[in-house]
Amino acid sequence: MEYLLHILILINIYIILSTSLNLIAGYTGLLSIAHAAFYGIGAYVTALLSIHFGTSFLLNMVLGMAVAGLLGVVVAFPSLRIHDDYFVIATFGFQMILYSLFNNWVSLTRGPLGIPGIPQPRILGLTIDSHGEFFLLTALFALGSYLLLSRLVNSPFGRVLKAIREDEVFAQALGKNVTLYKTLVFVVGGALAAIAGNLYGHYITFVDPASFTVLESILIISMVIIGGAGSLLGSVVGAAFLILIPELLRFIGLPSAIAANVRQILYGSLLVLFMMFRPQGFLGEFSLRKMGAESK
Amino acid sequence: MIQQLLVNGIIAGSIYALVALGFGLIYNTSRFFHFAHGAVYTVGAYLAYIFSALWNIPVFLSLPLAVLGASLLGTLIDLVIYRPMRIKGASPLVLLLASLGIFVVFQNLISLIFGDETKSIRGGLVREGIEVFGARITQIQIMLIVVSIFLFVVTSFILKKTKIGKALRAVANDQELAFVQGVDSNKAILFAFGIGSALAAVAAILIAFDTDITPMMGFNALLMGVIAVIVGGIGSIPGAYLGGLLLGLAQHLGVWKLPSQWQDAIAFVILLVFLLIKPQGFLGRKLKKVEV
Amino acid sequence: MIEVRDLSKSFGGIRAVDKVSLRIEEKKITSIIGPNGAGKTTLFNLMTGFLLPDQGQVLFRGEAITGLFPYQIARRGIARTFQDLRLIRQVTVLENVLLAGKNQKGEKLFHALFWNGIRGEEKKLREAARAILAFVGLTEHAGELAGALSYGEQKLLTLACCLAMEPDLLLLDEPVSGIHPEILEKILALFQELVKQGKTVVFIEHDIEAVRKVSDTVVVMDEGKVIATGKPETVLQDPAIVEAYLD
Repeated sequence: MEYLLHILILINIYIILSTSLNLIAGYTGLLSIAHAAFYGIGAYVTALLSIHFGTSFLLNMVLGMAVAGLLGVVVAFPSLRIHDDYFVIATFGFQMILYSLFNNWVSLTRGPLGIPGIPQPRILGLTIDSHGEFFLLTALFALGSYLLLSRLVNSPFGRVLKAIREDEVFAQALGKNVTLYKTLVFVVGGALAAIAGNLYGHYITFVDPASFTVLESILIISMVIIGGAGSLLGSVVGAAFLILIPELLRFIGLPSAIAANVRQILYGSLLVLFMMFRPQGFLGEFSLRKMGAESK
Repeated sequence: MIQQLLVNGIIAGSIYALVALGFGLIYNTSRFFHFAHGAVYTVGAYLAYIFSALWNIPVFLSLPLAVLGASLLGTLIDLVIYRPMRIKGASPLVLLLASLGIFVVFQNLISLIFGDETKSIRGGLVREGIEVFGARITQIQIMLIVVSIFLFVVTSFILKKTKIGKALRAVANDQELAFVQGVDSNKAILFAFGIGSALAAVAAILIAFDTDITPMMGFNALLMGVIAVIVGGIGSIPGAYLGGLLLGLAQHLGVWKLPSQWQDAIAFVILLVFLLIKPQGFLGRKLKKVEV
Repeated sequence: MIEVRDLSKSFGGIRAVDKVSLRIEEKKITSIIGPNGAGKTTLFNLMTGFLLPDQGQVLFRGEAITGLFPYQIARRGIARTFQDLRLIRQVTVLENVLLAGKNQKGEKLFHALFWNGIRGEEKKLREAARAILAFVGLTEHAGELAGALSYGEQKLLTLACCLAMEPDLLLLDEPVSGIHPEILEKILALFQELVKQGKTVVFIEHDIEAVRKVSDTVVVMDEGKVIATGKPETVLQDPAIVEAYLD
């Protein structure tokens, strides 16, 4: 039972990550391989604050979101000048720099040793410490961020995002401040990813750089792409699918020592296969094939 | 101190330059970021490890075999995965994502088979440095620099003088025009993958003899190659090589003032600066922006 | 209405627009003609902020707008279309017009998140969009994908999008070239209707008959320079211009 709940908790956390990245990559067309950096910011802010200042769960969350939001402004900046695959490379750069900070700023982050001992969250006098409670907590936040994003993408705001994805020049000619929108989606998407980082930190009670590598970013973008860029439901499916499939391998008796590798091999091949045969993913509303080709 | 940093920079730069040369060649013809280039690099080093350290094949045979193997892997990736996607009209972004997937698969396959720990193929080779202008450099490192320059010259020669090299340049310049002129772009692209992958393997093997090998080695090399290509200027082959050298130097001279663990961060800051301020690099053509 | 002073723009040594000065009168239809490469579209791009001039100024209602971002210029009341028909083809005709709607609260992050006054606004927006679609005669296509429309209908849709922005000045790049004569007549009639509503129309066109029919003023450009300005009956009779361009 605990194992099952553990998997469900992870799925909840990844739903927050994949849906928030979908806002950036799927709806606005800004393919980013830096989402694990925002995720990491949320986790590290949580870890550092609660260890050094004993701050509460919600305060950690808000401050993590604020820092990630600021990072969002910075990461969005290159998208004003460079596009498509060049922008992907730029996000790669941010991911690597942030990872480098987590890993090398030893006096702050303890480097590869990580930060242990993050306390369990307390909300309204209640301590969340069982798997069941953590499941409820993460489910609440996953649902909340899903509803928030779905409002956003189905509003006139979302209409502008899709216009920017399809034709930035047209959007500008219609009087839309493309710069502002690109920045806003990175701020919102990044802040939501920080929520996931906060939940992860409080749940595992330990953070280290290995959880926020570029491979993690590739995993999250794979969830978005395989689920379907431009479909929030698709991102939920993508997250659940990529978390569950490797777990199924355990049932066929795969030793856990190699599970991590097999898991990555699996999602790597899925990414290749989807790109080859179904670039729009399970539920995508548009094909990435169009992206890039038309905005040139 | 400064001399040693310069020498170290040139050594690192020579490797980056080779990776960038191959990566740039592939980018110029196929017009997408082939991230699996990093995987091909790692495979090259591990093939050398299998052939020379595990099977004890003599070096003069095992190393060319490893290079050939990596080159075959590169062409196979193009043939089996990228080409069908190109025919379907996949955008550069879709190809990039696929190449990330390929990269992830190969890196994990290697760490599954060989484990994450470092392996050594240096064996009996002695690492005894000589003094040059107050800097210490090993024979392997001298060879590394010489081989790198030699391959740059050979590659430039192939591109300028041979028929297939000219076809490759034609495709790089203008795919449609090349098609009109009767150049088979698929063949040229395949050739670019072959040469580019071989260059990556040579770089990896040189590094393997200088330091050690790990499954993660390709990732860093690839990223440095990408940065070098952007710094040097996309579309320019001499630019890619020059970019690699400059990046190596910048990274190692940076160590003068900063602790060495920030070398990667330095490289990525350089990348962002170039992307924002001079996206066409030193020698490259102007980048396409969103056109009105 | 809009005025350009001494405007110049070069691309790699070629002077695409060369010291152009021009004053467009309010509530009139002005057409810009000239051979390909005369600098007509570049002039539009300079006027709407998509390109920055090397020198010179653009004044809109007496205020300098040079250096403003395209979206800022658009919000001041200048709508434009593009030669290559920019539209969001993957969404419906109606949604394209909705997208163009001016000053939408729902486009602000806060309002979008909390659905603050969006529903009412959306309803009004839809009514306005339907009225515009009726005005250009696309009502029956409202629910179709924009990409499914014919070429001429797509041109009408870009015009509809412009109108949804409630502009005072419309800059239209080849609004009638290559379309069915029936739709052409309709578009020209729309121009005259718009002027009656107090709007100013400037359009680039190669179709001389269309230019002759509706223009109050014709501007002739060649090699980046304005070579003639005047009423169509005088300009289009000028032997020098007829020889240089019309033949």
